[in-house]
Amino acid sequence: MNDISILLNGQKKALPENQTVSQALTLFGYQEDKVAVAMNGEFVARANYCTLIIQPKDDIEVVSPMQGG
Amino acid sequence: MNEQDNAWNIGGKSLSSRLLIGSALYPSPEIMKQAIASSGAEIVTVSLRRQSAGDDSGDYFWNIIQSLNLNILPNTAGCHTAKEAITTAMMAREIFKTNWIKLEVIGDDYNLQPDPFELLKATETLIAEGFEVFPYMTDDLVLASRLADAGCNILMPWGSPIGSGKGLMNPYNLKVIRERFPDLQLIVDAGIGKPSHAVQAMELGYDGVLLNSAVALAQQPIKMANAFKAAMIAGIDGRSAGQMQQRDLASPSTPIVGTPFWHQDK
Repeated sequence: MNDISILLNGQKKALPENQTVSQALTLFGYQEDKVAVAMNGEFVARANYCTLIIQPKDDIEVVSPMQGG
Repeated sequence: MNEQDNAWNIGGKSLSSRLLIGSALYPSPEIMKQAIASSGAEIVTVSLRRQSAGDDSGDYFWNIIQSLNLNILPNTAGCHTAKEAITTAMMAREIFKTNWIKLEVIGDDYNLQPDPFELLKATETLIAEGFEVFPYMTDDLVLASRLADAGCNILMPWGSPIGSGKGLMNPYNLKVIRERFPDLQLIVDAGIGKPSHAVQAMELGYDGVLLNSAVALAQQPIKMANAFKAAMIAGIDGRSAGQMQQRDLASPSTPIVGTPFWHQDK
């Protein structure tokens, strides 16, 4: 299986091709229910994690709660 | 204080405290927890950050916030465009399970002044998406009008720039917005530095005050949180009690008839 190159929170990462968002999150060590995801600037609903396939050069943001004012 | 005086409806909820408090900049998580609890606030603001894979340090913070059992108001801090703010709001709704969003779209990094054009654009989209938008805005009457037209039930004009502690720079502008939008929930957001600023906002007829740095950066945050709790009560009770009429000339409060050395012929 070939790797593709993506951006994860602004950093270049390698990922096996044809991975769903759900698979990628697991692979990178995230717990799905504790994060929210955007891809290429667009929100990705949790309901789509299992069907949306990550493409080469996709720009993925993974966020979690933090302090705010 | 009469609890009913303080009761208000905000974003579909009936609350008693008029204070909204932030969760950032405290000396420690424990002080944050105690300060927020001491403030009596029933709404706490939170944010989102990029999470490194495998880093669950944010869990500690989030668990503390959840243990306080307050209403969560996520913000879109750090966003500079409507598109960024909309995406952030969507992520916040999923993670925090609320349709409330404190909409921040910054137009100038020097004083963190909101961008009115991007703010309006984001507001229109988010209201269409079912959000209750709490827009962080300048104290501009026309912007307030456009946001109201877009369907905002709540407006949050700044007192002064975020974190400046300068208080209400333009009480006149805030007063005009209050007078023009009597049916909207108005909250002074940002710039509050001390309890008297909060009292002033409430005396101007505002429905609430949102602050963070004033408590978190105080030398004794928990004590300051208590002071703000009292200030909110003082402000709203003072307003509802009805202020006396101002006079141009002095008028003695002690009856002068019969006082020593009183001269009736003067």
